[in-house]
Amino acid sequence: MDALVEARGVEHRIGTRAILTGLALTIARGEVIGIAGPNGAGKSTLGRLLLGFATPTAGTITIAGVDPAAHRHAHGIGFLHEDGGRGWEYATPRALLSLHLEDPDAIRGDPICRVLAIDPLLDRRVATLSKGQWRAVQLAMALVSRTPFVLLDEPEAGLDPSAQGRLHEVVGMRAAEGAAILLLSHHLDSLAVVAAQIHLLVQGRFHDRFDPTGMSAAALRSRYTHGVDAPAADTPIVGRSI
Amino acid sequence: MRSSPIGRLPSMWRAPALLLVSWRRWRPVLAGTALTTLAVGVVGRGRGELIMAVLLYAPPIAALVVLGGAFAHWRRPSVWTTIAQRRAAGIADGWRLLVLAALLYLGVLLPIAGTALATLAVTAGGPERALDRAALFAVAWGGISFLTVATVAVGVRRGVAGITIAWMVLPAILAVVGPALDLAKEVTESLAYLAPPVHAATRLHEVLSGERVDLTRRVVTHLATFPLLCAGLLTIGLQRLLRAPTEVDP
Repeated sequence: MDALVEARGVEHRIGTRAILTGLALTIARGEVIGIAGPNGAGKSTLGRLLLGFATPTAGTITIAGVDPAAHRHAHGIGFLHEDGGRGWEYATPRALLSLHLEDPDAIRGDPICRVLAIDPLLDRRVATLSKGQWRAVQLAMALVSRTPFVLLDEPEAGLDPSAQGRLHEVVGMRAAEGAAILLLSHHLDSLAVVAAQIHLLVQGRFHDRFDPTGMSAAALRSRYTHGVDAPAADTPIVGRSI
Repeated sequence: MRSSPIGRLPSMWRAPALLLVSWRRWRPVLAGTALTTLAVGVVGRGRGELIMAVLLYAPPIAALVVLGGAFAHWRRPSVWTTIAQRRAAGIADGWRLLVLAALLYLGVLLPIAGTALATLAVTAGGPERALDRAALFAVAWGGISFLTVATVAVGVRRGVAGITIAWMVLPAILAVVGPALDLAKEVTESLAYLAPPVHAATRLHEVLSGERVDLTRRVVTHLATFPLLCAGLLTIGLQRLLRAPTEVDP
């Protein structure tokens, strides 16, 4: 398996408080991994470490063999922030997308933009977009630059069922192109559609991992509840290709 | 096919340009500039002290509005992460934002300072000398204000801001503490070299006209080393800002 993202023995502390403990994670090229867990489990912190926006207190994280910050500088990272996106109200989606494409004229013909149906939105101010429309634009911003690693934090937030279907489609497109994709989410049913494996992160540790293929919503909920209540497992978790 | 004006820029300039465009405090800035320019032109005639007050306060206020606003905007989590996730995002983005902010700062300051100097030229008793002095002060002080505020705006909430502020109040500390400690003249003068170059800007005309040759070394030292000091502090501040601003730290 051609692993792109590798994390070993990752710990992160803020002061004396341990946020993440003994995490191991591998994501191969073309693989989609989901991480679920309750609020405060450390999902977003793990995301920041993988993006190179923070450095782990202990352990190693590499992306394509280099540290995440160096990889980000060399290749960029497709990142969807969980924040609602305040600050870009007066920009247009076209201007924002031009940050991520060398040739901004390529926006209109881009298959990801076409699937996300953002063509009619390109020249509107962000302040005039609905929450779901803005989320679609943010998704396009994270995906159009074709980065090797994509991290989407709560990508379903604000999306209606039809838009969630488009989200799954574009995630699948990027995985088919060879991107390693990590989804951080509370929405198990959505993760189950695209992720080859779901890891449960509870109190900074991976407590469970499973292949959601064919699992019903009830089975997913049961697995989640059981995983959240189960004792920590220290075994490294390795994803598989889809 | 429509294309964005930002998209027509070379890719390296798109992020800083979009930061300034999306900051969008244009109306208050333009209105403030127009009103101040008008007020200086109307009220300033025959009031040299008022003109000098405008030349003293306009640069730091303009720098605070433009630079403080632009860098506070950059620190917003969704803005910061959008900029930081791009390929080759780095310290050059910060320097380019400073260049664009400097152009905006000049756009605000030139009408105000130009009107103030023109008003002074028309009304001052000994126009040439007063005008030369005021023009030199405006240029030196304008540059110092921009660099000082840029350093604080970039390093805000970090140690750099503390160092800068402590340094800016050094003359006041010396004035209070110096006599009490009964420092030797050499020590006081040495410390004065480390003080901010506000004094240098006010004395520049006297030094250049040969009236205060004794101040030449200090004034030249301040005005020559100050940009280097700010460049060093700005580099440190930008590197820290690029690693992660406070708002997106875990």
